[in-house]
Amino acid sequence: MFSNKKLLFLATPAVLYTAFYFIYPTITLVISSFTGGDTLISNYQYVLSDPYYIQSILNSVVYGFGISLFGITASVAVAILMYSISGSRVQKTLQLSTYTPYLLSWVVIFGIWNAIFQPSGLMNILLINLGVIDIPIQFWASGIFSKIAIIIMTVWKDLGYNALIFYIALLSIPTSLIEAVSLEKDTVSNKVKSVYIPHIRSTILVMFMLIFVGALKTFDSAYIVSNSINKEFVQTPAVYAYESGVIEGNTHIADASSMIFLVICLILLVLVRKGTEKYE
Amino acid sequence: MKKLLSLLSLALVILAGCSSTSGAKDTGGCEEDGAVQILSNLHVKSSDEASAWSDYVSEELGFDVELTYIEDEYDTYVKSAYSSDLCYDLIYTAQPFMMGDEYALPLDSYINDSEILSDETIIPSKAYDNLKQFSSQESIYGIPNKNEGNLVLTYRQDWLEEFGMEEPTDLAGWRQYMEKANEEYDAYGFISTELYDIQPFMSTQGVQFGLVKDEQGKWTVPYESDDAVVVYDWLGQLYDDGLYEPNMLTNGSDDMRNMMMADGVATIGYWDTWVGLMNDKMAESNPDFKVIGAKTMVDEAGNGYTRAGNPGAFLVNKNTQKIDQDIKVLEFLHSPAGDLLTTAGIPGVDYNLEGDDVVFTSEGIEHGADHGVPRSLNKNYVHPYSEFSLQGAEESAEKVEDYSFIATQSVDGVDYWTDIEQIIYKYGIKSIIDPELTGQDAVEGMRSEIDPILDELNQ
Repeated sequence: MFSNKKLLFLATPAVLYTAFYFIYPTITLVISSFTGGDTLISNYQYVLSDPYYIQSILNSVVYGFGISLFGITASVAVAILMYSISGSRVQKTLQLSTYTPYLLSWVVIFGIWNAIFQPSGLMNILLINLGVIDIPIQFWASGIFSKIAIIIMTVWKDLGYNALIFYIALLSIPTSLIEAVSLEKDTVSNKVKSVYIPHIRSTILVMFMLIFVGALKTFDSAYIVSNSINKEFVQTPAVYAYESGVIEGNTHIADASSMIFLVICLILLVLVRKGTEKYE
Repeated sequence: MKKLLSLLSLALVILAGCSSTSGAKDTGGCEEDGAVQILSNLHVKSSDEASAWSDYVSEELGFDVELTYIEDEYDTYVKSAYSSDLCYDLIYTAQPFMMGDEYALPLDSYINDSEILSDETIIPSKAYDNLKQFSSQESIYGIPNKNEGNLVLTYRQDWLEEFGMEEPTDLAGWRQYMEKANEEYDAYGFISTELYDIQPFMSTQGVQFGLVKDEQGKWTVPYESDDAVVVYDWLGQLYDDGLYEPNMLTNGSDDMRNMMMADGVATIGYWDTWVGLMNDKMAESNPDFKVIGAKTMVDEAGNGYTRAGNPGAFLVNKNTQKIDQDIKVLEFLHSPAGDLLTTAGIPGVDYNLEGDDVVFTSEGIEHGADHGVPRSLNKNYVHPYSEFSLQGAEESAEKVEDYSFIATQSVDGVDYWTDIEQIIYKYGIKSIIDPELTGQDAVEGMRSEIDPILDELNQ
């Protein structure tokens, strides 16, 4: 067995790595967020008085809950479907078709959606030909539509990946248990309620937290979908920090906005953790 | 263990707080030895070509030069390079906020001492003035890169001639031309990316893009003035009548160019260099295709405004340790050999010399004689080749030259325009696509959000 000193020695590279590549940059970020203004807190005052930033936080929270709740539901459903037909050619086709979007870049995904929903896109052509509208609908000018589109596109993109994780969790259910339940409760809904969901509950909770955190940090999709009209309804703090820091060159403002959002994320995570504790 | 971690944390805090104020000179990662490091997203088309570019320039100058080419997210990369002490001695940028002490070295004295950089025929003083105005700095923080050109209303000259019409000089005339193009070719009249391209129409009302000082010396935004209402209403009417291509919220500039070259639209607001590039590109497939830029339109008082391109420049890193070599590189780029390099490309890669003749390789043809400088600042420079003549570009530029201006977007190093522009687009586009909203509603909406920004700016 190693002594404590030896263990500490072995852990040193990892500690140093973390210190210089995570703690040090974080400390410089904190210091930067307090500098460059008239007072120590002027960057924070500026950010917190900016209605666009406040709205971006609300948008992010909507993405957090929307993407995680809708995403978990859809991917668990797909996983159960794959498990039910496990080994068949249909299952493999389903797995491939749901996983493929995960490999696509956001530019491609938005391109597909834009081809459908832009004014000269398929949806408008269909509606005009059916006589429902005369002038094309500007879907991307609608904040609500754009926000829902971001949630659906994200869920669609990650569906196969998330479903695969749940599918693997389902594969660990003992065959004997399935056979026993099949004798007593042979309907699918009974199996889902009494076997599948309880068995993958801990996986669901872990995935919920991971997807929730990822959704709070939404950047690519919000940046690509954003335009002058829908911007305030789709922008997230990550986009806000990018635009303040990189586009406008106000790094101290960007750092302050990142710090505020970091704290909000931690609070939200604690609340969500508390809320899900009873299901463990 | 706790003590150890506490000490480590304390050391990191001190390190973080004092990293830029310690006794040793902070050179931001720049070194005295080694190659002159250059960063650009413009002067080559790939990392492989960057390597060939570096070899060629090193051989010409007699010292090592290394060009790094970043294709995507260039501005993010530049910022990251500074924050991580990754030193580039020369950095190409078109960002006004970078043209100041925080990032760059003031170059006034170096320009005065250089025969090439101070030569009016090679780099016109107007190019330096534009740079100073753009960056809102008293000093010059970069060496202008190219003839930036102007945003001109580009139309199909072949169609106009076919319709038997003269070049329109007012909104009514343009509408007539667009209607005719729609009838004859089923083409849209106008296409834009958001409202980036409407300055030629705004000029008919004497309205200027960007921040403009009024007679009292206060900053104003003419795009939110009553004079602009006519243009928003006129564009809204084009949209309602199906003459305004409707995808302005998602269009990119390539969509505009492609649609024009595919006979899909009659007019675009775009850079005059592209007049030449489009004519060159279409010369073989459609010899009848000919686009040209329109003259600047003026209001009743004779005021007209054509927007000049934001000046891009090579900055010298404030931390550079090789200033003499940096200046030599910049002088080389503005020499005849540099002009050939930044247009035709690298000898042996983009072209080969057969006697005095430049013979383009397939790669050179693909690159279209644009390696960062489609049109040189040096008006005396003549390309030693006949291809890529940019037919119509010079003529288009001359038609608007007298009314050309650099838009003011930042004041005292602070970028006010990014936010203001978004507000203009938001209300302007809403008024165009929503029949219930008028141009007057648009400017009132703009004022509700822009005026507080102007109040802060004018304090």
